[in-house]
Amino acid sequence: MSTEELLKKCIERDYEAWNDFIERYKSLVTRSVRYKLKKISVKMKMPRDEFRDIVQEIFLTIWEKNELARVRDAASLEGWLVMVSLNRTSNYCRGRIYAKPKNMVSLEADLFAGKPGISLKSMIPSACFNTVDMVESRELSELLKSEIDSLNHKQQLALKLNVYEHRKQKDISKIMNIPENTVATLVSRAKNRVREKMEEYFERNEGK
Amino acid sequence: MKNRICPSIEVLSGYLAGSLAGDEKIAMERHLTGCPRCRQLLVETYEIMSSRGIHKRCKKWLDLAVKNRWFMGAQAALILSFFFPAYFVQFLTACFLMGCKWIIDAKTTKMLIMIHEAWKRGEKTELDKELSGFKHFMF
Repeated sequence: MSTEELLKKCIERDYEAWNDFIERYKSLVTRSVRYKLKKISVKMKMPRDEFRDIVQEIFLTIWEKNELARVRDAASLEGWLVMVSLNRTSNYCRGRIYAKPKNMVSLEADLFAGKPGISLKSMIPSACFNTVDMVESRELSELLKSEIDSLNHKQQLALKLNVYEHRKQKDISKIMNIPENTVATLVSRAKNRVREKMEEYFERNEGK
Repeated sequence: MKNRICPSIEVLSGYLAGSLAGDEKIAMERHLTGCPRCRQLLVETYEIMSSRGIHKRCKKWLDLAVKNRWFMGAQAALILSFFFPAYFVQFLTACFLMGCKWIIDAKTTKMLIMIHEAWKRGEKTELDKELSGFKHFMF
């Protein structure tokens, strides 16, 4: 059965098709859940039964709310399923006790029960106490941010995927659905432009 | 917390699948430049889906290896027999046995055995019947 047919039958509440759907995409959902749990460092702390519960809950919610009807086309089904699994897993873990690392204290929380207003945040020295270096680094980061923001959206996205998300050009080309050569051009142009602007900034500062 | 202007995951998955076009695609790219949360979700999804491809390829090779395990074992025994001359005969025997097992297990061999048995019993296959009818018609 093709993915289109399967999707259509599942939307029409066909039990047999739904069983096929689970069989076909069970491993993908399981892998997505495992990936997310590993990423938020709760995989080791979570009992095996609970892990199965998450996978089961994902499929159950999709079936009960007929969420498959929202999927745009069969081509985006797998991506949609992975995204749903990732979101549901992080939502599931958000309220659980093992999602919070031990020995973690909030900066905002009061340190002493009887004395409100004394928090760790109030004890940390403010940025205004710091020296010129702090001001310079802030200025530099703002300049860098504004330069990146001034790039066109394609260059910006390619650069951010490359620099912030540490993706290779091959991956970026697949994510953005553009040829690899185009990605190379976009990234190199963006980097060159930002570099030029930063060099101008340093030259200006050295002259002062 | 989800950003109010974030697109739905249907649109995001559509972007990854390459099914968005025109203004919708541009709007999506503009959003992705400014939303680290959506960008991260997109990258994570891509990572899982690309690892699935690797899994599939690995499984394919593993299946092939399991299917031809006796043949590979026979080959390995043959190669090892040259590297360890002291156990040459033992390795050669292992190679022979595994080779025999591979031949017996092969689908074509099983089929040939079944055909041979049927032929010995004198059974006529469907094809034989059809051919005999055709011969009768012709001659």
